[in-house]
Amino acid sequence: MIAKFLERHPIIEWLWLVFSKQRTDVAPDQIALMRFSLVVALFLLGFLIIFVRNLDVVFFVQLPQHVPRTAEKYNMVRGNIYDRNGQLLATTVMGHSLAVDPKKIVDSNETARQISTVFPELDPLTLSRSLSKDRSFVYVKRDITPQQLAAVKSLNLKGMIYEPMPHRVYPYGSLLSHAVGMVNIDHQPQSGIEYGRNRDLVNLDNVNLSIDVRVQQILYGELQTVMKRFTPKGAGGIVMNIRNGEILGLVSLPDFDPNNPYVPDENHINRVTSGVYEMGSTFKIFNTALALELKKLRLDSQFDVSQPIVIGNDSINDFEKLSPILTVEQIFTESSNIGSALISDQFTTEQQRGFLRSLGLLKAPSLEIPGVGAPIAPKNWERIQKITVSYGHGISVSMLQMAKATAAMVNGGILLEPSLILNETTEPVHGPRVISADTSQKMQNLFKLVVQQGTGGAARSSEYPIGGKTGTAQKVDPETRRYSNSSVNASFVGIFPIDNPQYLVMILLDDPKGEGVGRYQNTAGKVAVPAVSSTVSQIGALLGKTVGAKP
Amino acid sequence: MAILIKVVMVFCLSFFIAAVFWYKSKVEISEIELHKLDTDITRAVDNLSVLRAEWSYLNQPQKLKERNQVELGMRRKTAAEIHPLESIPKLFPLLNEQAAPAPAPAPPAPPAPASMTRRDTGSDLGRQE
Repeated sequence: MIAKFLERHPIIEWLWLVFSKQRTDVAPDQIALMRFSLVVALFLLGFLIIFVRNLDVVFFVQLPQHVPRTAEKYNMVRGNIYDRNGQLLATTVMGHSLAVDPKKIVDSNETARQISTVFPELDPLTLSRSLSKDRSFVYVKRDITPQQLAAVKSLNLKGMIYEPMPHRVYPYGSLLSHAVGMVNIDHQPQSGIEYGRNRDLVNLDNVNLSIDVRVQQILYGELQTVMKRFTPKGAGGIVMNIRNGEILGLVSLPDFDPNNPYVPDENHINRVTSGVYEMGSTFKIFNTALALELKKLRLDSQFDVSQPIVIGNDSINDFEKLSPILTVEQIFTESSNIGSALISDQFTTEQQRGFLRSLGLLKAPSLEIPGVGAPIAPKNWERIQKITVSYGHGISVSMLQMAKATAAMVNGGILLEPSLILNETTEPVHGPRVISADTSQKMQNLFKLVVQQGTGGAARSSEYPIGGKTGTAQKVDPETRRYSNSSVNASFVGIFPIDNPQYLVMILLDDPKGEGVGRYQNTAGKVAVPAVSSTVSQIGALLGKTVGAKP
Repeated sequence: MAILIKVVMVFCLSFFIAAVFWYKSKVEISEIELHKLDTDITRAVDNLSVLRAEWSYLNQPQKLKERNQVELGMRRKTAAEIHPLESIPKLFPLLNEQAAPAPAPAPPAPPAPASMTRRDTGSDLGRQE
């Protein structure tokens, strides 16, 4: 049936007519014309198909996803890191590695001698030995500078291979070493944001830090000054926006240059985020805030601080003899240990512990960089621990935790997570409330009084109004395992402008040596407060603060 | 007639073959040009990244500060020398009255502090201290 159908189909019939040689009823000319039109029709069909396909490709087909991204094509390997104003902090440039093909080298001794004129650190003998190896590729030096490349090229040596190789550059050198961190020669992240935001950076996304290099530089300069003047083992500084938790400056000394990071391991320790210290009197901030928050006492409640507190074999004393009767306000501003211990009797150990936990002082805080240190808190929390914690001993926390918790005390009572990443929104940041706005206002006033009347007097010279709290903690002598009389950690956590707090500046010196003679030359009031005061004087205008026009 | 058809067909065929070869060579030339452009772009991108890094290096606040102090004799502004924008109308009360008679104009909004606004990526000497 199919055969029958095909036989009778007009197209088949027509084709048979065209190609059959047996038909005699049709003129040959006509057949030729039909064949020609058939060929033309097929051509036209072919062109039509190509034409339609072309239209389709040009207008309708989307390019497949696996087409290499421009970045891969142009040797980009890692995103850049910028500061909050768009200053470039870390980038990748194309460098070169120098290799040789020993098979093409005639005189390896002479070649080695010439190469070592450009790289004096390479030993010609060792080099000559590796140049005579039976291989076709030997690295001479990886990651050479453009000058070195030009110098080697100008030697016109045979068998040189210049292998392009991406090279990570940190234009600000050691200024941001601990915040930005570094990658190793294989572009594996080692520390800082390079490590913490590695996923973004390898996806070629840029990272904008909350850090302002100008603020960073000022803080860095001040810390360098105190390092020279008071020769501490180390120093750390942090500038934070207490309204949204952004970190504007983070410096830890001694440090390293990420472009050339081969320095002692100690320089790689971030004293702001990973080092934990007994903070000393700055902890009285939390002791006082808790007592005020629980409404157990008022600012003018009085305590008798004339007698040392004796618990077992230990007694708690004040640095200097203070007047026998002190108000809560004076205990804070004069930084009385005895007074703080008496205040801590107003609440239970559980209340104290719960409060410190709510401030994030009992667990490692979160930050976008690795190596954030966990605090060391007492295992048994009895009355003696409650008393020592009240003035900042027996508990070690990092400066980052201290800054985070202190910010919550003066920003209206909201605990905010510190961050090194730029907050590009202008919306207010939310966090859990840890104290009431009223207690926060009282704390602001106490901070102000510390500078006006108390231990932070050196900050009165600042060009902007500062408040704050000093902390001088005796360090444990590693030999005697008792608190040392001479070795201390001195810190000052400053808030400015204190009438409308916006920024926190904290500086800590690990074991400063005092200038001049007499006791108490290495206390926070002498070594840390002036540094914070000077920092604030310089960064105030940068942060858009004015003290108002003078008539 | 048959010869004419054959001639036309041969002509068409050779025309199409020539066209195919012409396009092929055109594509080859384009590819060479593309490769050259790619190389140029790679080199430009490399140079640009080096220049950006250098620009950032030269813009270190510490370096600028030193040069400003040594070569231009500049010093840091003290807080007393910096005034909020709102204080300007008060300094020129007469001018202010002429420009806008009663009611007194609202003081201009204070500028967003430098630290609170994010500038576009790129460098700009003006914002350095």
